[in-house]
Amino acid sequence: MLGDAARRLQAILTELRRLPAVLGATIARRDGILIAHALPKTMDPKKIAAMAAAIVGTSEMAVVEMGLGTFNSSIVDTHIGKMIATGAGEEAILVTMVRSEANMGLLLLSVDRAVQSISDVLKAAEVPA
Amino acid sequence: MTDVWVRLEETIDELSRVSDIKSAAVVRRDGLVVTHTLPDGVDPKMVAAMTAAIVGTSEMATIQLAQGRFVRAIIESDEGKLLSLGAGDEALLVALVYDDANLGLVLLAMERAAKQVEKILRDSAA
Amino acid sequence: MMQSPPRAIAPRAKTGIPVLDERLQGGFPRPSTLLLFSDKPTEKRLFGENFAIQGVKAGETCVYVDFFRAPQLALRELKRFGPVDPAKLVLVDATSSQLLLPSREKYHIDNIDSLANIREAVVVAMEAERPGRIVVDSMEFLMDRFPKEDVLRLWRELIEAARSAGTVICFLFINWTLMERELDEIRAMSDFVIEFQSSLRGGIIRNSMRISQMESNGIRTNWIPYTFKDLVGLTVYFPRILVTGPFNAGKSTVVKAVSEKSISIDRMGTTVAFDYGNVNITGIEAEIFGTPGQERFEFIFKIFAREVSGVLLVVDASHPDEFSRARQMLDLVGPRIPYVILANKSDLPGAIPPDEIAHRMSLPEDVPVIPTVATENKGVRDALLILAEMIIGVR
Repeated sequence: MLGDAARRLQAILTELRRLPAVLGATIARRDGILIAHALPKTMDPKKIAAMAAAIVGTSEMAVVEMGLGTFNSSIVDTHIGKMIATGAGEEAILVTMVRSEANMGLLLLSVDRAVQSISDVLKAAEVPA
Repeated sequence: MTDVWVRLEETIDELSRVSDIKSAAVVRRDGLVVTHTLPDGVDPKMVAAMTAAIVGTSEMATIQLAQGRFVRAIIESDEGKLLSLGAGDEALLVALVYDDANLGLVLLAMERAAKQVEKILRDSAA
Repeated sequence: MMQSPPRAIAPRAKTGIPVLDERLQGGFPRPSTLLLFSDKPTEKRLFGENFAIQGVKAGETCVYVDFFRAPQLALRELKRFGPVDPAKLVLVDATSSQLLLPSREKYHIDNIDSLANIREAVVVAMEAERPGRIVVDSMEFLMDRFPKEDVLRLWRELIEAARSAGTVICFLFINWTLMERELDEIRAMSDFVIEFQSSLRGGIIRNSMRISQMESNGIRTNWIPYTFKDLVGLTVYFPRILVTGPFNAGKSTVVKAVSEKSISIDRMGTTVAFDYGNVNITGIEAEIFGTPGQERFEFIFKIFAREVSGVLLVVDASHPDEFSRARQMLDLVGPRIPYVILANKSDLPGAIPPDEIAHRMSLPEDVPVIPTVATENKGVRDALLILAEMIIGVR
């Protein structure tokens, strides 16, 4: 059952990576543990997972402290591209790295779809109480 | 030395006057408040610590991901955005903006303010 | 002149900073001579004002000789220390005559160009009021106008007058012109020297002071960072106390237990960014910062472990296998930062006693290991207070 979830998550990432603008993607647990990744070999997915958890966790707290409603996503602009981190269900976070020239509208639609799929997979994989 | 603080305060006051910007702050990169126009009810010390965590971590993630140089972090939420960027080696600039803000204009104003902050701090260290 | 019998005053003059007063065995002895000294214009006036106001708050009569400010201005500025009995705060007016105005104060210096006149006014005030404390703000005003030998003579005379009156006399001084030898002479005339320094880093000004007792083997504190709190006065302030240690040791619980108000950024039972709180403990203000314990979050130290005043290293006393990890985390903070070990969960069966923990962690002799039960707020404040004393240098 879990192996099936892992395969499905990997498939979601592979699908995401097929978009020309997407350089890599990672799924992390909200406590910073790596769940799955589709990153080039030069990058350490475990470090990304932990950092994404810190960023999203802090951003969510910041949004509450400042009365800004509900957190949607954190976007880090770099001079090469962007790193988008967003919640994917209660337990996980999706981090997507994209090129600068990305068509953000289309991209965010794909990210939203991926987030929904990830959330579904993780919910289905939960061992019933 | 208090002159530094007055100049920083002026920079933040000016930035906060940009119509799409609700409030702003200069914080030190290790999470301590320098000056701010945050409303009552928002703890500036917490905002400072959180901004430092977000930017510091984002910068390290940028390096990890070999994505060149960190430029800015944008936190998007239902009712607004939180923008933060570096203001020299020692400080960060953070602003709360309205949800429908013209980001282009806001970022321009922030970049100008960040350069000013950087200059003020650099001058004071001289 | 009819005077109401003086309210019994404490044998020692408190600074109003509890940690310091404790180390001073209640405060500065009576009589004594204090030198508030700085090389640059900094915050010595604040300490002088604080000292006078603390005296008034304790029921003592305090004389304040102000060469720079008119009495009305001085009184207005002193209000920020909180309400005081105006009858007990006696100002010696040194500015009205300079402005060619009549003085409204009981004690006034009519001729600012005459050292004799200045001495007269101050000594008369001391003899008549027999104050608990007198603050002279500030001696460089005289050094700028009169030959230094004459000023030094006046200095000695005022010390004598204070001794006779049983008063603690506090001289403020910035040195512009004196040689080291002359400074040594002034230090030698003083019982306590309080120095000040200010630094500016990344837009934040840090003020600190240190107290040295001139007598050999006397008290010597470290540089103590302080801030000013409205209506309270001078307050020792630690910008960052770091709470760190291995995963699950109880760091977040410690931060919560010790703080008045705190937050924790945690997910699934573990801190993913940091904990933050602030605390006021016996007049010391501190900001408390908890790090995550998991190795994957060590990058957080690079951001926050910069201007750390001191560390509370929390270990789970019932998990000795993690003691070495704890020691390792201390290295992430950097050398020469004071720390205290909290042997947390000390109520659990299998909890290793403090001495044994110290031994197993190969700690230096003088590192305190305090047993705590953070979930019940036991021992945590004690540990913080011990750390505070170590940072100040009174332990």
